[in-house]
Amino acid sequence: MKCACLVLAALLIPAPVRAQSNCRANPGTCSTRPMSIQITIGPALQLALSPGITSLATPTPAHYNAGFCATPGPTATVSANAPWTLSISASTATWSAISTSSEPARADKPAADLEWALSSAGPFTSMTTSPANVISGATTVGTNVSIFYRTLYSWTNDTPGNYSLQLVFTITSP
Amino acid sequence: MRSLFIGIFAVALAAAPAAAQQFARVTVSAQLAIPQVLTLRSGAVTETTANGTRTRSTTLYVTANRNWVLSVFRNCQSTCGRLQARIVNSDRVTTADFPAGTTSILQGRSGSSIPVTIELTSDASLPPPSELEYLITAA
Repeated sequence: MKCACLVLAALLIPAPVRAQSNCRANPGTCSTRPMSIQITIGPALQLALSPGITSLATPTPAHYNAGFCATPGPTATVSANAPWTLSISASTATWSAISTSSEPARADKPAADLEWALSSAGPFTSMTTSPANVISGATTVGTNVSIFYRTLYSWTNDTPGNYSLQLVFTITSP
Repeated sequence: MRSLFIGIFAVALAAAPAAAQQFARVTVSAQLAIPQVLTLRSGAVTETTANGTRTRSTTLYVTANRNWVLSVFRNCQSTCGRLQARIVNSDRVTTADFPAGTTSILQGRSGSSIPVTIELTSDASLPPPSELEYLITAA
């Protein structure tokens, strides 16, 4: 980085000044002056998630009876030049619901009906609108964090329909 | 002049990292399509005869994630005697006649293994009613 800065600085110097700059070749024809270049590197964080849309597994009667259905979620890829923490939250308190039959879709399906974990075996944590810490790490180049989802179902509440929930993944550096 | 240019450049270099974000945020979505689920399971069937009346009691279990209608299909061609049913669902008791064809007998709300008991009464001197077929459909 520093080398790149010097090269660019040289290009910025006007022609007359550049003509006097070869002090080493012609000592005595010019004067030298010490200079310093300072650079402040702040935290640089990069976060990528794939896929952007996770299609949750379609529930069967067995899933309803079990009360849940598991689906692999997205993978977050983190690059950071400082310690970091990945957090997750729902952007709304309830799922958006679109009716697909004469029966109205459930308008109040809570975000907590989607649970997340770092392993398919859990433990699972209910989604909230407040960011929940998922994992922390040190400086890294492309650490992958796999997220696993579990959707909760109730025979009496979860009517047919198309549902979606926006999820916010945030990486912060303390 | 030279100092000015280098100084400006140095400031520019220092400013860029300082403005680097302290966080990064990505929004994704989870999507879910819940299909209609309607299941009907038959349980115990008992038949008793007393005082010239035959009573056949059938217990069905409804599981559904939406409102539903229970219907019965009676397949009789010629000797369709009167067949009356007493339907017990939770604390609701209703009665219905089963003519030939399909008759809606009960509506219900979503739930798991909702018991529905159907008591068919008929004249014991007549042949037992032909097979009945129970159907569950969306309300």
